[in-house]
Amino acid sequence: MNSDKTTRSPQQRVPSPESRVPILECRNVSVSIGGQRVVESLDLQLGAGQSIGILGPNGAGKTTLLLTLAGVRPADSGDLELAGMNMPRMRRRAIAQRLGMLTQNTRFAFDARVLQVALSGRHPHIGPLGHESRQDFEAAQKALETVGLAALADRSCLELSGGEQRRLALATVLAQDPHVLLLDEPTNHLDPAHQVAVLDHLWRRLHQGNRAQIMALHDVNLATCYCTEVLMLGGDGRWEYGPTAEMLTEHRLSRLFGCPMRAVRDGRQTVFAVAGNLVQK
Amino acid sequence: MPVMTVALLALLVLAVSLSLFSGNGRIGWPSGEIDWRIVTELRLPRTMAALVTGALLALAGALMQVLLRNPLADPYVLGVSGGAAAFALATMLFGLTMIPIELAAFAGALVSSVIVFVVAQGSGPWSTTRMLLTGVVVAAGWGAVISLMLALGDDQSLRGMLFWLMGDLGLARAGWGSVLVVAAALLLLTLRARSLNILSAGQTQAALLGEEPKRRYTEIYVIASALTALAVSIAGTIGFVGLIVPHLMRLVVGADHRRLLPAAALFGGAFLVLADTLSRNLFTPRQMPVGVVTALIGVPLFLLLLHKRGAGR
Repeated sequence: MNSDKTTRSPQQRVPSPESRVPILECRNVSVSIGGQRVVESLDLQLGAGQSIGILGPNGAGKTTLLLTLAGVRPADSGDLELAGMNMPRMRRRAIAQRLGMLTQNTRFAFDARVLQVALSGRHPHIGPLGHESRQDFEAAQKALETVGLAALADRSCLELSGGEQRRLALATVLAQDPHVLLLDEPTNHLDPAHQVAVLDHLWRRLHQGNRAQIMALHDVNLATCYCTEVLMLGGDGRWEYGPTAEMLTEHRLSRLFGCPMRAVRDGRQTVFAVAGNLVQK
Repeated sequence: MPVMTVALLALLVLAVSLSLFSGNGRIGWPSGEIDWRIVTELRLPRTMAALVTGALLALAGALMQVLLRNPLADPYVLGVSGGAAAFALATMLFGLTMIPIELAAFAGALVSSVIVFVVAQGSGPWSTTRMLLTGVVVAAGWGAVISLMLALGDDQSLRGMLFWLMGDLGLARAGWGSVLVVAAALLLLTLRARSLNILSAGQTQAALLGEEPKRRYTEIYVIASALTALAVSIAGTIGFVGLIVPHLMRLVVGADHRRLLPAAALFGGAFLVLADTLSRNLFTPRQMPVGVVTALIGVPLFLLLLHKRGAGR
């Protein structure tokens, strides 16, 4: 899979002028979990307007790769560049001003108000001794409105349901408003309406200036709607990368997940379904 | 929020007045020179020691709760007090009278902190679980050493030894140096308190929001250990102040450390002054170690808080 050059050509997309300069770039990056190589020599360029979806079976290294791209977990080898700077040399604060990540699990240890949690996303933008300005409060408030939690702003974060906690974590990273947004299964715990609302918002956000995102997704069908490119992780180090339409085929998905997948077309949208062994002839 | 500050300051003034003008089970305005000398030479230093120790323990407790990401952690949970008591007891047992016992206690607390830090962290990433495990085991080790020394010690020195285990303000003195330490720590920590809020969300989240977790956690550990060591060297091991006070203040002023730390320092000081006043006056002419009073107030209060917390969800 690794040597499959045809799927890697970036010319397939219509490039907007700004997207020629990558905001996040990784060259030859390898990642291991417990001594086992899960990603081998990954080359990836993330430019403005791009939304890359990461697909792969459980344990394929989606989360580990995202944490590596965020710079909080060291790579085995390779180079990471954020806005043209060597990321391992950057201070965390400088990284956090440009790159944010929604992690998979959000656990609140202390009782804080919902607005206060969302406001913590502004932390990297405020001086070490400074205080939150009115703009910071407005950004946090707006982020809460975006995820539909504005009415709960004064609640305790410990009283929220699983889905609400997830949306609060998302509001925090939206208040941070980074150029590069990494999202580890952003739709986890969300009902369908909130899934679509959240992904719609993230999509619109991509076109507000120098913005790009990479998200690990479980649901292939969300990738068809909300990703410009797809990165498939096999879990054994091999990977494939290319434009969404090219990558999401019955053949590739069946091979990736190790189970038969069928594409169903209704004329407006292609939907992938697990075929199951009984349906197969 | 100013309402809260005023209330806490009022409580502090009340506690200090009560402590200064009560003794032998009676409250009264001092009359005559001897009475005034009792107030200024005996009660004032003792009250000041209680105030400083309470503030130190409350601040250290709040920091330890951030460090271990657990609202129920206390300053002694990583074995600091065990090290202090063991060193203090050793100087008594071996008759090392040339070493001031407070200094021995302070050294013991720091030695214990260093052992826990080196063993738990090594060069790897910061791990709360390993830190907690190491601390609890080291504390158990000190416990064994202390029991051994109590068994070997003669009956005469036993009372002095108990001081370090229970905590007692009877002979405690806090110099202006320790007042300065409390003030400086409170100022420094409150200025950087927004970072503490972020760090209490865990190291990955803290790193993603722009903090350098390992460096910050190390700083917090060093400051919390030093504050605890100072508190123990002043008044022995006084339990529950460092646990209850930050917890209670979090319910009152919220989890933002910019408000929590000053509130905890004020309330911690007031609380210990009141507890000490009680310990002097409740069973006159006998005096209880103040650690008994804080535990007698602290245990039911803590269980009540825990129960309410559980019932809330």
